Amino acid sequence: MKKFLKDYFALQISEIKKFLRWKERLLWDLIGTLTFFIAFVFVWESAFAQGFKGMGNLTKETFVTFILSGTLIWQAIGINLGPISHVFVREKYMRTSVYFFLSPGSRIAFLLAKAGVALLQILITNMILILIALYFFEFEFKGSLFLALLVFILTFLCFHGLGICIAALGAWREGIADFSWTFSSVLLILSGVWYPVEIFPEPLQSISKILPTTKAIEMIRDIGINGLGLMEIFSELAFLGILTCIFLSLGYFVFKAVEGRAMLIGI
Amino acid sequence: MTHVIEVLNVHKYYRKQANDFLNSLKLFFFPEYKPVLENITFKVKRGKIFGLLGPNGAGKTTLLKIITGLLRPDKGKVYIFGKSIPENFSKISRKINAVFARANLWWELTGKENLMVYGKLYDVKNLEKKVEKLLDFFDLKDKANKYTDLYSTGEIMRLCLAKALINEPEILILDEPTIGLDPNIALKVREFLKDLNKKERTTILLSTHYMEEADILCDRIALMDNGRIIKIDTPDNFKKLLKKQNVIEVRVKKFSSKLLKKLNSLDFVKNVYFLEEVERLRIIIDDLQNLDKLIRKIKKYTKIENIVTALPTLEDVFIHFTGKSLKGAE
Repeated sequence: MKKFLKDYFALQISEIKKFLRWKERLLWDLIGTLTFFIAFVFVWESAFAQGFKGMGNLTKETFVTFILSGTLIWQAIGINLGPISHVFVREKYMRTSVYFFLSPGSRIAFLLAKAGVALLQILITNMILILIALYFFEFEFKGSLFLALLVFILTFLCFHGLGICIAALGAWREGIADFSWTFSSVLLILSGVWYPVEIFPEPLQSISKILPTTKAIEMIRDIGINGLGLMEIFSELAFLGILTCIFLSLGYFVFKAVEGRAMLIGI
Repeated sequence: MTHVIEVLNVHKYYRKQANDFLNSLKLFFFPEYKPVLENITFKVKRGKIFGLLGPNGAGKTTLLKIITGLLRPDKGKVYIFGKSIPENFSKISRKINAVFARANLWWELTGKENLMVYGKLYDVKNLEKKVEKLLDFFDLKDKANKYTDLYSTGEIMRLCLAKALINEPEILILDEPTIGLDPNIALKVREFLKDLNKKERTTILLSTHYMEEADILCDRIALMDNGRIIKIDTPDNFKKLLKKQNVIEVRVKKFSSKLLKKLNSLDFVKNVYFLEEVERLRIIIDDLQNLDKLIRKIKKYTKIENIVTALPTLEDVFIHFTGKSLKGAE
C-alpha cells in the first residue's frame, strides 16, 4: 500500500506537470464549453420570449440551471471519452509507456494519476463556469452541493472506466481512438445536455432514457432544479454506483488484457 | 548462481500482415506466422558484458524485449536471477533497467523531472543527489530544466542512459546504446559502460550493429542474423577463426560495380566489398593459393595500385558466417 501511494503521488505530480505544459488547453476547453452554454442560454431565452411554455425540467425560471447542469456533467463524461483516450494512444505512439512498463511502478497508480489530472482539469473548468453563471446569469442551485458533487464524481469514474476501455483498445488497434469521437458525439446528442430529451420522437426517447449519461444529467437536474435529496434519488444513485464499479473493473481488465496482447504482438 | 540471464530455446513468431484488403481479409481468417526468433539459447554470467551483434531486422530488439518482460516468447524460457520472465518480472524489476533505441521518456516533462519520477518509481534513496550526479556525468546539467522534446537525439540517448542508471541496476540492458550519438559522446558512453562493468560488476546485455562497439565492450558476442544465433564466442576467438592472410585489401585505379559483381561471382571469393572511407576493395578468399587468380581477374578490368593483407574484423567474421555484410544488410 505504501509503495502504491508513493507511486501514485509521484505519477500524479508528473501528470499535473505534463498537463501544465499545455495549460492553454484548459483555456480552449473553457472557451468551447462556455460558447455552447451561452449559445443555448440565448436559444432558450429567445424561445421563451416567443411563447415556448417549457418541457420537463426546462422552464422559463430554470433554464440556466438546466443548461449548466447538463454542461457540467457532460464535462465529466466528455473528457473521458475524448482526451483521455487520446492520451493513452499518444503514449503508445510516442513510445513513452515502454519505460513505465519496465519500471516497478503500479499500473493502477498509472491509471488513477491520469484520472486525477482529468478530474482536476474539469473541476477547474466547472468552477469557472459556475462563477460565470452566478455572476452573469440567473443561476440558482436548490439542492445539496455535496450530493451534486457525489453524482459528478461517480459519473466521472463511471465514464473513466469506459474511457480506459476505449483508450486501451485504441492503443491496440489504430483508429479506435477516432471511434471515441463519434461515440461521444452520439451520446452528446442523445443525452439531452442542452435540451430536454422529451423533444425527441418516442422511439429515440426510449433509447435516450436508458443511457447512463441521460440518467446522470437528469439526477443533477433533479438535485439542482427540484431540490431532491439523497433518499429521493437513491435508486438512481445506486444504479450509477453499480455502473461505476462495473465500468471501472471492466476498464482495468481490458487494460490488462490489451497489455497481455501487447506482450504477444509487441507494444 | 553464476548465470544471471538464461535464455533457453526461445522462439517468437509474428503474424504476417498484408497491405491490400483481400490479403488482409485472408490473413485475418487464416493467419500465417513468420518466425522473428528461432531457437535462441545463451546464458550470461554475473558481471559480464554480452553483446548481440547483427544487422537491423536480425531480431535483437525483439529478444531484448522478451528478456525485459515486454514481450512473451511463443516457445522457450527466460530466467533472470533464476526467476522466470515475464511472470516474475515485477519481483526483479528493481534490479534491472534498460534503454531501448525506439522508446522515449515523457516529452512533456523536463529531463530532470523524468529522472525524478523514475527515481521515485524505483524507490531510489538520496534521489536529488543521484539525479544531479547523473545529469552532470552525461553533460546534461544545462539542459536539465528543458523539456525533453527540445533535446537532440544524442541528448535524449544520454538522458535515457541516465534513467537506466538511476536505480544502480545489477543488469543493464541496452538496445543500440550509441545509435545517433556523435563519435565523441559514443566513445565516452562506451568508456563509461566499461568502467561501470568493472567497478560495479554490472552485468550488461547490449545489442548493436557497430562491430567496433561489440569488439571493444563485450566479453562474449552472439552473432545474429534472420532471428537466429549463428555463433557465440569471444571477439578474439571470432577473429582467430579467420586466418590473417585470407583478408586482402586492394586499391584499384578505377572502381566499378561491374568489377565488384565479377569478383563476387568467383568461387574462391567468400565476399568482397568496397571500403569508401579508404577507397579500397576488401576481399575475403578461402585460400591464399587463389591470390594469383584473383589478381589476374582484377587486372582484366583495372590497374592495381596497391595490395595488402589485413587483420580480420568482426565485420569479416560476420561475412564469413552469413555471406553478407553488416553494413550491407542494414
